[in-house]
Amino acid sequence: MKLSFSSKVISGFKLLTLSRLGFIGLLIILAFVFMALAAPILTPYDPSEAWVAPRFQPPSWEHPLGTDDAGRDVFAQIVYGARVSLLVGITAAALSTLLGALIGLTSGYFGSIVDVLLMRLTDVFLILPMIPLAILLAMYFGPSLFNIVILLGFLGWPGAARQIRAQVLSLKEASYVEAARALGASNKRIMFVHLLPNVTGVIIANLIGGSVGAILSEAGLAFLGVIDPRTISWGRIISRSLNGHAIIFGAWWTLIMPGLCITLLACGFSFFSHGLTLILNPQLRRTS
Amino acid sequence: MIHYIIKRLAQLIFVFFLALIVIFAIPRMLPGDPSRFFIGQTVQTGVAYGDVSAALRERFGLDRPYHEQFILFILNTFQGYLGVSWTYFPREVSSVIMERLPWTLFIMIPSRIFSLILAYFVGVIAAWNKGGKLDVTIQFLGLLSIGLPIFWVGTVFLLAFSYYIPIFPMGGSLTPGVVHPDFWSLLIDALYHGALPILTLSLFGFFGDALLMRNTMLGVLGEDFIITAEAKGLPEKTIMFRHAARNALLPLVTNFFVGLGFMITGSIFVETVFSYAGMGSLMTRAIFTRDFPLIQGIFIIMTAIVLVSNFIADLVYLWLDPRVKLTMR
Repeated sequence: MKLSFSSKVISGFKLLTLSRLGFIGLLIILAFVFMALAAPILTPYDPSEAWVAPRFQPPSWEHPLGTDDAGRDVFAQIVYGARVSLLVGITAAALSTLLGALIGLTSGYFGSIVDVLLMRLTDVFLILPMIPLAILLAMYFGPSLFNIVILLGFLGWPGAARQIRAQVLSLKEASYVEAARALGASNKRIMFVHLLPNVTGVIIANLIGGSVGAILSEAGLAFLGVIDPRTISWGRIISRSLNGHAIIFGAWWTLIMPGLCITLLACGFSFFSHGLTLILNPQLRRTS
Repeated sequence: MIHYIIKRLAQLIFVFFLALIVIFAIPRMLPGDPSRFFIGQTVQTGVAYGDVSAALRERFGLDRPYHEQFILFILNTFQGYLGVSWTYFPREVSSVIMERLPWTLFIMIPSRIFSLILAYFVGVIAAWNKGGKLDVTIQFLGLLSIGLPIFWVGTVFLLAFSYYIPIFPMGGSLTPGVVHPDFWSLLIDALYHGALPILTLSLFGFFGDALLMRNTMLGVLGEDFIITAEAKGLPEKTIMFRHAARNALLPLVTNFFVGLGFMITGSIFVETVFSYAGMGSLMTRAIFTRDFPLIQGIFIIMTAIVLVSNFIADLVYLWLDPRVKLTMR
């Protein structure tokens, strides 16, 4: 039976309701996507414009989340900050999943010396302290948003590579792969036409799960000042307010809210990937 | 077994070497002259730029061929010379770092110990009452903690315990201007300032540790000797702690050292939040002032700490688990 696209989406959605946590995660992500897209409608303020009001104003009707140390509207910064978090989170995770898939496929399929070398490289990347390395590289290349995405993408692939390699190792012994080889299919064809579609589940789970790490790393780097100063980012709202002595003023709104957003979005992705793993792995689905 | 240790040691040196190559190669691949940054940061205006630049290039060996520079760089690093800081000019990077490192260890090690002790009890009890209130709570919090940025947790603690309930200081590592008459008064002051950073860092490692303990404990509880102990009619507590927990302790103990490696990243954030005078806040200052040698030096030291603590974790595993030794022979 061939399913139409819309019925596939609907049945996928039904499956997702199987995992309540995954469903909640998806709702959180969608809420933030809406926030990012509708930013100019949600707030009349420019997030980087200073002194729209006196500094550290508590929440009011005019400024729903108050103002920060330079009188910027905090709600506007949060709404526009969602764009950066989502953009960096998803693109960096996509890049690292792509790299991980290529390396994992190559490593698992070819085996022997290729496998040994690639897995050694993976070990190296797993053991190096990622945040300090990212800081160092971002300082060399310049902490523009584009560079941060590329950097996090290039540092985040080892996990995906390992998982995909493990899957490929078990798949490549399957009889259909042997059949394809007997029919004279090239290595490239076996890897991308026969093996890749069968690891889609792992790839999607890594794409979503990898976003968690990328979102947190971006926020962390922004907090430490490794960021283009023109970028509106949740991590930067906190560090700027801390440096502007928000604690002494008790300005909880500019300290609590951005962190809450980072946590919510990261947890949203984490829950969603949790649910997806459950759905994409029928064995797990049956037991739970 | 000796063979295994040597293999791990060789791996460690190999990874460290790769990290050094990255540090050496990237600034040399980038366009621009490093001496220009240096002059911009340290030398006062009114001096002929070309003269200073040439002198600097000669002084730091930048006029020599790359392979010579590389050998010099490696030799220097292994002798502990990490260059001169631009912010703290003319002090050496290594001396600036060594002054800060004890402060970082002062919050890292206690928080690791706290986390471990708490995780031990929580993990044992959660596994014993599988599906109970504690078990469900710890699993849910563990899931939440994946998305929790540590610098925000620190900020929340700071807001809670030094603004709303002002029992701890707003930051710093010692009360400024106070001369301590003896060691104990110094220690108490340091602990008073270190309490919130230690609490934040402990929390950072705790959920991972507790879930690890819980899962290993669950595995042990399914084994035959536990049934035997139950059949003998031993009291619950004896089975729980003397029979099961002891056999589930190994992964937690090795995780103490692996966790030290993670903690070093956490300390960058925590120290920045609490303006604590350790190596992490030094990193933030180096980022702010674009002090490249200092950032590099801190990266080298942090990498070394991660590698060594992972190596120690391996050694401890070997030492504590006789089964590993047998299979190694």
